[in-house]
Amino acid sequence: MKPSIVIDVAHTDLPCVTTHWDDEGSTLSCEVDYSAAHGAKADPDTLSDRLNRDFNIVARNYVLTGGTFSLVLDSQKRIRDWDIFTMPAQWIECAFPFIEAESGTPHLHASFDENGHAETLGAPEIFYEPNRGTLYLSWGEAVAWHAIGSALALGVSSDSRMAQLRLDGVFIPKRDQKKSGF
Amino acid sequence: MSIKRQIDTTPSDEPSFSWDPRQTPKTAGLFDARPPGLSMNARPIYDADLNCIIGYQEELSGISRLYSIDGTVTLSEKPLESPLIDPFDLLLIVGSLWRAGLRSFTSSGIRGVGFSITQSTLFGLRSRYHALMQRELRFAARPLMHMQNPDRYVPVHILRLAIRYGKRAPDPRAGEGLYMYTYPILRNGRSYMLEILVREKDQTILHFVYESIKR
Repeated sequence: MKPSIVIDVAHTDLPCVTTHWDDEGSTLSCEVDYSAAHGAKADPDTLSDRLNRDFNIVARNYVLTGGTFSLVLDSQKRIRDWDIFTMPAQWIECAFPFIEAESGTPHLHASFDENGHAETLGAPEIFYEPNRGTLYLSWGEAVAWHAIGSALALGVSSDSRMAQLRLDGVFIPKRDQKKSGF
Repeated sequence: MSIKRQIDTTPSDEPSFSWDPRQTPKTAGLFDARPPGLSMNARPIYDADLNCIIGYQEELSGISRLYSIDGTVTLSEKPLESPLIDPFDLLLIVGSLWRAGLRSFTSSGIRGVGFSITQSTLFGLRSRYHALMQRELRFAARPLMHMQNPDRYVPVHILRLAIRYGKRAPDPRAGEGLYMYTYPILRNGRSYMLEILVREKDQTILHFVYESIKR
């Protein structure tokens, strides 16, 4: 079952999104840092923090997977990072109109087991719009978009399920012939 | 609003990296990749000193049959002390602080009972584990990062076992020389399917993930 989504009250500041392409490993990854968006200060280390660290008590994270895609949610079930092993040559070129995303913090809810894993999403279809450099990981049709950061947005289906992830500004240098095919 | 920017790219002069076991996350949990053909009645032997499963034990007609984790060594001996096994004891536990019959929980929160085997048998089981750990296995940058993340980490010997026993198939998404291995594993007693994409020419893992098995 695809995770359903609950949208929080919108925030004016968007989290910082860092995107990375590993050419040797053919992996596209994306990390989201919420600390700047929510004005979190670097709190001093409390006794509670130190005890939790000493006893290996860490906030639970959650994992969604599908094919070579995997996504980690933080303890509040916000997207923390995701990555996918992918071959750019196999992306499906598209001309999807770019729909502006509403700001907000999506929280993804699903049935997670005691290790924090949900049932597989299935491998996404990958579409690429070359003019804007927009990559779409698609599990279905999106009817609304929620901005996670300036470059990352989550597409939601009509029944409030995660349908797509959209990453903007993806321009991957062409591979040398020597390197292709490993 | 249009965003035009170039994403960061990894310098490609370092094709793969080795894994430093000191980076193992403390809260990764207990992984199990049972050798093919092993009876489901065989109980895992957990080594508290190594914090991993190093073998399996099955008792048939009063004889304790022991298997190493790679299933290549089979030892038979009568247990030195035969603790009364409770069905809720999921693990047989060996290690310097464990005595036969002692019941408690492992660091992963799994209940087990202290188990007694001879030093030579323990050495034999541990040596098979160490043999798996010492063989070269390298990682691309992102899988290496996953190895430091308790939510994504998989022990190296489990990756090795999955590559040894798993179903091997050419990866349809990738170029030649890349193979996807799939093998069922357990994490903290729950079933998953482990997928590992390997560049075989230099034994480099390009991707790995474990997914819940649909029931």
